[in-house]
Formats: sequence, C-alpha cells, structure tokens
Amino acid sequence: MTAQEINDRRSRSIDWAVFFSRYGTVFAAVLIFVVFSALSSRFLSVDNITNVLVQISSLTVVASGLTVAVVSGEFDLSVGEAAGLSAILVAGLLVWSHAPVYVAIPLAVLSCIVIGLANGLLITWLRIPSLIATLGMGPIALGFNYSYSKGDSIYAQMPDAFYYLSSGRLLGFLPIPVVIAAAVVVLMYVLINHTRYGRATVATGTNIVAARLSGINVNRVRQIAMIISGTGAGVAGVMLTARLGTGQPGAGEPYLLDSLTAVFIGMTTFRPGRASVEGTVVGVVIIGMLDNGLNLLGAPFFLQDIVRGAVMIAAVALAVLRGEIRFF
Amino acid sequence: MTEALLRVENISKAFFGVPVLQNVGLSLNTGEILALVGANGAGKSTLIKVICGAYGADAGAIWIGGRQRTYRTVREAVADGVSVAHQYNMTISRLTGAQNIELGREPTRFGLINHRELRRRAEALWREFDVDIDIDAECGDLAPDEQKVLDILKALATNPRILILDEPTATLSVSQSERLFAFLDHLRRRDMGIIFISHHLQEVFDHCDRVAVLKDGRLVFAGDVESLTREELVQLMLGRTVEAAPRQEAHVSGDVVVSLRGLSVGPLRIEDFYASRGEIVGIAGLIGSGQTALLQCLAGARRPDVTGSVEIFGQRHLPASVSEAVARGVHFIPDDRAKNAMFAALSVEENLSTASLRGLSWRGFFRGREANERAETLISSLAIKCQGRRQTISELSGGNQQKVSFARWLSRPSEANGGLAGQLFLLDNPTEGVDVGAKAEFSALIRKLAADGATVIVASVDFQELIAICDRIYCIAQGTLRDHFPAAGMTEEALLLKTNEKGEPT
Repeated sequence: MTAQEINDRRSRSIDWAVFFSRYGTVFAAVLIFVVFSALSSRFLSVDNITNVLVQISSLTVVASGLTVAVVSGEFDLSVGEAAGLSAILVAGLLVWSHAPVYVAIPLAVLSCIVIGLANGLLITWLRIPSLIATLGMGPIALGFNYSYSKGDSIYAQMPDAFYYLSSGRLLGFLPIPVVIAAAVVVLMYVLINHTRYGRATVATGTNIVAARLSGINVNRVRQIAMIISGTGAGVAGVMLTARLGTGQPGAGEPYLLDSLTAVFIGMTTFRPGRASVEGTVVGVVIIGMLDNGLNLLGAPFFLQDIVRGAVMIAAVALAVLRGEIRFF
Repeated sequence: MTEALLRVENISKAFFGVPVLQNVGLSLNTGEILALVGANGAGKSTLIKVICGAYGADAGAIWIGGRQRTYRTVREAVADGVSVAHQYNMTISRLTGAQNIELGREPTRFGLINHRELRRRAEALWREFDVDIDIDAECGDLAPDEQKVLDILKALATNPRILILDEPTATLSVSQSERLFAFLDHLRRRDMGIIFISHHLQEVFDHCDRVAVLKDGRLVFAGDVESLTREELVQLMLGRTVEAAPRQEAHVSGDVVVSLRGLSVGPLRIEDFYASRGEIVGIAGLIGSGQTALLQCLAGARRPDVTGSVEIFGQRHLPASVSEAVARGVHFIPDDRAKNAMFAALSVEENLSTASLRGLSWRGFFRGREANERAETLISSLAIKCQGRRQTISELSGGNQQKVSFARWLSRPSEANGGLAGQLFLLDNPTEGVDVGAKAEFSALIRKLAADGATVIVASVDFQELIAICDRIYCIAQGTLRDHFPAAGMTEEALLLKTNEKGEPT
C-alpha cells in the first residue's frame, strides 16, 4: 500500500466519523422505525402513520419555536404552561364566551405572545437568566390558566370550523395539523438560515459578547426569539384543543419536556452542537414513534415516561461527551 | 556543589504544534530570589505552569531537592513544597481572608468546618509572616495589595520550599511593592527559594539575586543580577536580532478626526488625545491601565465615567451603542478574541459576515451567495489560512483567527461609498497569541489601511510592535494619557520606563 493510499484510507475513515456524528441520530430514528415495524403489525400502516403525524404536529410547532430561543442562546421553560393557557383560553372563548373562531384563536395565541414578551423583557431588561425567568413564568401562566378555568375541563361542542384544525384534510388527504406543522417548520428554517435576523440570532447564541461588539442588537434578537417561542406554544395550544375536542387545564404540561428533548436530540444531528429546526423535527419524530410504538406494544404507561426522560438525558450526554455543547 | 533546590532540564512544551518552550533549563537555590523575565509571550507563565504541575511538559525533567519529579496535578506539586501565587488575583471576594488562606484544606471536626481552628491557623500564619491585614474582612473589601499578600499567604500556608510569584507587583503601587519585597526578603532569610516574575526591571535589580531571561520560549541568559547592566538585560529580553523597520512614510493628512479631552474611564484619565486621518496612533500601557476601556468607549461598548469633550468624525459625542459606532465608521477589534470577537463554533464565513448583516441582506433576507463571495475574497486577500470558508474558525491558528476577527470590518458592503478615509479602526492588543510570521503580516495590513486613508488606534502591551507600526505613540503614565512621542526614534526601553513611572495613589 502506498502512502497515498494510506492517506486516502485515513481521510475516508475520518469522513465516516463526521458522517456518523451528523447522521447517527437520523439512523437511530430509522432504526426505531424498523424495530417497531417488525415488532408490531399495526405500526406500519397508513392509518397509524397518519395518526402519529397528526399527534406530533402540535409538538412540532412548540419545539420549532423553542428551537429559535435555543439558537439565540436562551431557554424557554414556560412553553408547556403557555401552551396550556392558550389551549384553555381558546376553549373557554369558544364555549363560554361564544366568540367566533377568528376571534378566539388570535386571542389565545396573543396570550402566549404576551408571555414571550414578558420573558424577553425579564431577560433583556432585568438581566435575569432565561432559565430562571421562564421557570418562574410557567407557574404564573398556570395560575392564570386555573383562575380562568377554575381548574375544570371545558366539555362542550365547539364550532365545526374549529375542528377543521384537527380533522380537516387539505386536498382531501393532507391532515391540516400536519400542514400547519410543516408550514411552521419551513418558516422557522427560512428564518434561521436565510434571514438577517437568523444570522444575528445564531451569532448571539454562539457568543453574545462578540455579537454585541459586532454591532448586533443582542437584546432585540433575544426579545424576538422569546416571542417566537411563546407564539409557537400558543399555536400549539390551539391545535391541541382542536384535536382533544375539549379544553384541559393541564394539557400543555408534557410539551415542556418533549419539546426540550426534541431540541436536544436535534442538537446531536446535521450540524452537531447547534440547535436547528431540521434537527428538532428528527427529535419530534423519534419521540412520536417511541410513544406510539410503546403504546401499540402494550407497554405499561409509566415506561413511556421513563423512556422519555432517558432519551433526553442520552441526547444531551451524547452532545456533551462529544464536546459539542456545554451548559453554563 | 550542593544540589539545587529546583533544577529544570530541557523542558519543551508546545500548544497545538506551536512551540512555547524549547529546551529550557534553569536552577534555583535555597535562600535566593530568581527573577524570571522576558517579553510578553516569551513563555514565562507556561514555564511556571509546567513546574507547578498545571501543564505536563512534552520533554525534559524537573528535579526537586535532587529527586526527579513528574507532577500530574497541582496538588502533587503542592504536597512536594512547590507553591504558586498566580498573576491574577485568585482570592474569592465573598470569603474572609482566613477562609481564603485555608481554602480547600479547611480543618474539619465531625465532617463540619472547624471555624475556630481555621481562624487559629490563619492567624498563626499571619503572625509568623508579620502581616498587617484584617483576615476577618471579606476579601472583596480589601485593597489590591492586601489581596495580593493574601494570595501569597495562601501559597505559603502549604509550607512550601519553593515559592513562585507570577507578576505579583503588576497591580501594586511603589510603596505597596516595597512592602511586598520586605516580606519576600523575610522569606528568603528562611531559606525558601523564590522565583519572581516581573516586567518591572528596577525590581529585578533592586531585589533579586539571579536572573533568567526567556525569549521566544528559549532561555537566553541565566546568571547573577550584578553581572548585567540594565541595558544588557533589555537587550537580552528583546533580542534585537531582527531589526524592526520603523514605518517608512506617513500618510497623515493633517485633519484631526478623533479628539478627546478630559475623558475619564476606569483607572484611566485622558487629558488630551487626538488622531489624524491616515494616522496610526499607538497607546502604550501596562496590562490593566485602562486602554481597553478607552477603546470600548470609542466603540460605543462602554460609557465613560467623565465624558469631557469629544469629537469623532465631526460629531461631538461618543457613540451610544456599537451599532451607532459602526454606522459612524468606527470599528473595534477587541482583545481576548476567544471571548470578545470570535464565534468559535461557527464557520469562517459566518464569522466574517456577522458585522455586515445589514449590508448583506435584502429586505431582511440574508444573501448567502454574496456573503460567500465576500468571504472568499477576504480569505484570499488577507491570506487567511483555512480549508475554505466553511471550516469552523476554532480549528484555525491564533493568527488566522485574529485575521478573521479583523477582516469582519473590511470591505463591508454597506460602506462601499464611504471609503477608508472615513473609518477608524480600534485594535486592542491585536497580536496577542499570534506567532511572529502572522504578526508581520498583520502589521503590513494595518499600514496598508492607514495608507488608504483609514485612521488606526492600536493599544498594545507589546511596545516593540507599537514602535514598528505606529506613527505616534501615547504613553499611559501614572494613570494619565497625555504625553505622546513620534514612533521614529522611540525605543522600547524608553516606553517601558515611561509606563513604569508609578504614582502613589493620592
């Protein structure tokens, strides 16, 4: 073997390492898909896959918004409670206040925009670490949620136009929630990768001091990121209520862990160490398949929680061990 | 001859392939103070970190009291009687002096800290070394020299045979330094070996027994202090083998574009400062004299304590934000690029584009192709060595990273019309951690900018470099920026003397 060949081999093997660090998580997703398909006859059916896609669509929306916040270098731990507030508000406005759909939905989303705005102000004005600010904002949103709903679920027929958000089909076959989720993903992808704001956000999230000294208005960047994150939660809350058909005060809670897990899984793929919307989508799909597959296999309900937590820790451990991300 | 207390043999150490120490050997005897001197970046700090176990050496051996030692951790070195008081203040401000001294080795009883014993030990040390400091006060409330003495006391608490002091006097006034030296004399009489690092040559001649000179990672001299004159020592430190060519021709136009009067920021008072179009103005000062703060004020990144009268490109106020400064043509290349200038995880192109997002965008959308073309142009015109614009910047060498953080401000698309004549570049320690070859390229780049009409203000602790690049140099002496000299005919020693004039705090 000549030196040239040895060199070639070496460079090829390095390429493999890079390839694996980039697409290993995608392979894991494919592997999960194959395993569940083999273990459960019902997993690989058009109905079930459509079902999974519809189920993960609202999570995709929250997680995409959260991704923007993480790209800007901040966390948003209030997304779960914010989505819950939006979910209960839209139900209450439709059922109790008999508000039309075109009023109820914007108002519900607006409540989450306000939460995002408040988060942003706490972070930029009062310089509170986002982890703390949003951790506190969560219970505040939950409190408003309970004060509005008195802690009760809202069961009643909602307008048909509202249910179109969950059961409608675009062109007769594309589920509306999936269309919304896809639109949000594309929007966030373009925002992060092809706009001035996106570049500024990436820079701010990577090195806030250097970004400021480059003339970037880092406070505005972070303020907008928090509002986007809140908005994502608001939209997801509305989609959730449309899917459940009832307003549940605690419905938003699981979104926090699931969306964070999705973002962290996303940080292990494509461009390791960086949060990206495309990575987040892979994360959401993995979470959706695990939930659905374990359900189909008749796994006990608590196993799903354990798996969820373990997947999140594993994703972060993987990224931290490879030196791609560092916390605090 | 008796065995030396410490003997270092042929130590070599490289970081990322860049040699920092090459075959360095030195020895330290009991009861002596050995001065370790050298220009910035000569490898002094690295050498002591190797001796105290913070870094492993790539080659060479360390003998302590006649036995060969290889420390893997600082703790092992400490147990062997090697103790270091580092350059930067390591005291923890929320702990008292006594708690700082005993930090990490607090006496315990039933698993809890025994406060009385801790206080007793600290006090014993305090009495033994005859220090006059309130060891019950929180360190944050103590004066800088008191904190420094505490740092040294902390080093002494492990009962070392070898004490290494890295620039202990850098932050002290003359009388504070004198007190410190009286203390060191006291230690010398107790048969301790002391390695003393300083930039203040007078201290070396007044208080040290022997001197070792490092230059570019090599030991160029070791011997008695008496055998040298001051001039010889400076010559050794600087190694005037490469004659730095002073700036050939100045392109100074005469219009003053920056003038500051009566501005005050941090420790620095600017009595009178001006810079003309096409001029390269140097600011010489020791580390921490406030030159960084001054540049930050000009760049809109900091507000001064007292504004005084200001004029920058005809406007009579300082920029209120970095973006305002940028809009006015003021560009800041900060020091400590890893912290202040570099997006380590991002690509070369992303780093180059961050300062020009507005110019590279159309209706909010980022024009990737244009950004890529600009990046390619800058990479080739500045000869930035990288595998391409997509390579992550943290994989580049220090010099090339610095070029990137500088190049961000060049050929910014929104400024195509203004030209360089309306631009001011502020460089803070631009060649920190940059190798000799890249330094030369960097100087050439700065000169070219000035030749094209840009105004450049360079703050540096590397005086030789200032002399080589600048037209005119301001000196920070006694916390004041006022005196300036033409760079031609200036010597590094004169600048050293000038900046070392210490005033007593009044």
